Amino acid sequence: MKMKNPPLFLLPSLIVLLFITIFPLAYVFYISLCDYVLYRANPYPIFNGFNNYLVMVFDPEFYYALLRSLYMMGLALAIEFPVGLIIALSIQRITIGKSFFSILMVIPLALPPVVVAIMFRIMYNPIIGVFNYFLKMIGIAERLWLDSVVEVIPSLAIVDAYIWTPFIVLVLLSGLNSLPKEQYEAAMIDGASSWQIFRRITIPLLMPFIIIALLFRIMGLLGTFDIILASTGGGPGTASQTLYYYAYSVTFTYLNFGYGSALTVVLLYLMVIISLIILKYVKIM
Amino acid sequence: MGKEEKIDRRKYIKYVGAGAAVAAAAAIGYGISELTKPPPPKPTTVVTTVPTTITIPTTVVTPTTTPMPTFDWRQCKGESIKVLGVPHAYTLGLEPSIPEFERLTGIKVTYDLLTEMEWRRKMAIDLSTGAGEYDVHAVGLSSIPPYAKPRWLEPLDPYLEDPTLTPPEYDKEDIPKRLWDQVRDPIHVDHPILAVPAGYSNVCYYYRKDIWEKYGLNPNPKTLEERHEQHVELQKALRREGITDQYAYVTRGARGAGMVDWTFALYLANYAEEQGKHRFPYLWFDEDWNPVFNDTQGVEALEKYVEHLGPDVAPPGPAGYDLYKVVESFITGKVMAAQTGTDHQPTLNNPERSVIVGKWEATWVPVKRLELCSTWIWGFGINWASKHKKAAWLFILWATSKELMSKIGTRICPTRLSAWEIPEYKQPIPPIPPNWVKHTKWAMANAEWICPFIPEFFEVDDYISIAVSDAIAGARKPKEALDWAAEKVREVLKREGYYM
Repeated sequence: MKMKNPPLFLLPSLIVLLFITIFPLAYVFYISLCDYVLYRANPYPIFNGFNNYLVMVFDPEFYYALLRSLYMMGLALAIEFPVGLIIALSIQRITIGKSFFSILMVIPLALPPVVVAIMFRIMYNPIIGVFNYFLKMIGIAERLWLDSVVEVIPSLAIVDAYIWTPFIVLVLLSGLNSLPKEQYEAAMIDGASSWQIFRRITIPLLMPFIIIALLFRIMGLLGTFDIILASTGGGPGTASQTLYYYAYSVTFTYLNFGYGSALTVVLLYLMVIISLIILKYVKIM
Repeated sequence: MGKEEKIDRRKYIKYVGAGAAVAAAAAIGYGISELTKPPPPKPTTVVTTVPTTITIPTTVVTPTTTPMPTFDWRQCKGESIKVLGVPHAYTLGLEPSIPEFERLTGIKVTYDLLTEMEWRRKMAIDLSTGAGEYDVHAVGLSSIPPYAKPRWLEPLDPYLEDPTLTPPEYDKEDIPKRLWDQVRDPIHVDHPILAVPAGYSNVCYYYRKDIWEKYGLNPNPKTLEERHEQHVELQKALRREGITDQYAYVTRGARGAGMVDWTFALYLANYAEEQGKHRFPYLWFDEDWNPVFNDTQGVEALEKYVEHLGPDVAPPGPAGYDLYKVVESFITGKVMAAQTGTDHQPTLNNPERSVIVGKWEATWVPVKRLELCSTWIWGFGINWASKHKKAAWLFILWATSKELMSKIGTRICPTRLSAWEIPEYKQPIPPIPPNWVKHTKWAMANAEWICPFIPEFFEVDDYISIAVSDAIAGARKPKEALDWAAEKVREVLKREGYYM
């Protein structure tokens, strides 16, 4: 039977979407165009055009925070992808205990990030932490980890890798399991080496899965907040203040909702732009 | 299988663009409606109350379990209230007694404690949105000016003056007047009371009595420099004995409004003392609200603060030490001395957490004038949007009553004079250290308010704390860090209309 008015059936989901996605986005965008500081005598948003965006252009903290976000993103991806791929390939090849290892992989993902951050905060402790204990055992100088302006971002990238590498593993593993066997058989008959098979067949066929994992992680890493809040609070000084954390501080610590919203809008568009660039270059769509 | 629809880049951009267009249209619509609202008035001039020194009278009270027995505690029976606080002495000390309040009044209490930074954020959101989620809020001195300005806290004078809500036995005068003065609204001309002082604190110097005796150290050095020299000697002595995981001293170094600044303020005041500008706001700002904490004395203060947290005395990474980490390292025996709040006494004497029970003492920080030991008050206030204001008031009345404060006296750092007359404090019974009692009672009567408590405190103080933390971590030199913070603070004050 042909439906008379199909768009009408979309209405309930459109209404839900409007309230949970469009309205908050529109409101944040509107607030970003306002001078809105909560602790004022009359804390109402006053429309001031693009002034907050103009302030951002001349705000060095914005650029530093942006660079820190990109630095952390690069470091975390540099750990998560190779390690995730190696683990996924290893799990795919083993014959015994495949399910066990797959389940084991899910544990860090199941833990709340705040709990993981606190766990790592204790392990990173320069005096009582287990990391320095092992470094000392093998004769390497102890590190300050989260308490050092230089080491804090790499230390946080390790925490992020601990939580999210299993996600990469699961996505890539499902990709590996779905690859067609025929091409591998043909390559083996033609005498291709393992490396050639991996480079010329596995990686190209796995690319859609890699891109999906990459997109999710880029968005996740640009929005990393919980582990920073629970382990460093943006410190020492501003050494771990990423763009998302800066937006949070401005909004909820300084109570400057106007400027904080502008930072959030920029972050949102940054995520969209990076996603578009990736999609353009790998031609998945 | 159906035909798969491909989404190309153009379509992707189209969808994002359409989303943005809808967002912009909604925002503009909302903006037009908001523009019809009256504009907010110009920022009000900040009126600050400088506390004056008074003498503490002594009052003796016999502790009882039912406060003010003739008072109608059941007037809000059946109501429920929510209380938000921080896990500090007075909130933790109070917690076990809450079932008594519930039985006494028939009011159900939900009691949430968050770490200091989280509490500030949660409180700001609850008060600013008018959600009224929490009826009673723990209020620190630094919260008073920011929350007074938009009138987020209920004025408490009508409650204190109404005999049906506050019986005469409550004895308001038992809490020193200078503490009441500090919790008044400093912005509006009527200066209403916005919180009832419940817990007292100020910056003091904790040290290990046993270690000091063992190495023959002087517990009362005359200057900060002399104290630092002792720390250096102590750490050398520890290393000579092969102890490599214990350190001489630590204080706060972590970023955060009200975190490192509270202890740094003593250094700033110490070095500004000679200029006669130790009083708030002049050690931070001049008469025209221009930041001056980056002047010669300010830089010297920060240089000394950094030097005194150097690797020759302090544990690794002092820039990451917040108040919790400072206390933790002292009670676990990792550091031998710490500079932090007096209200940590119950934690230091908690045998379940502390290995130094009965082994520590407290004394004055050796600044040029002892009154500069930075007073602090924790109080209880009522959310302006609370729907259970009377019930909330009954909770505050009970929590700050003579009877309860005397009963839980050793678990808190009380604000009532009568609570300092309980036997454990009067002739201090171990493990309460006698000098801690002497110091805290003196500070309650004499310590000055030296932190930058202005409506813009959270932003201003965070910038200053970043500068201090950066200097400790070696990310910036003290002068460079303070100049940066001064510039940021100037921008904030300019934006808020302090100057053009």
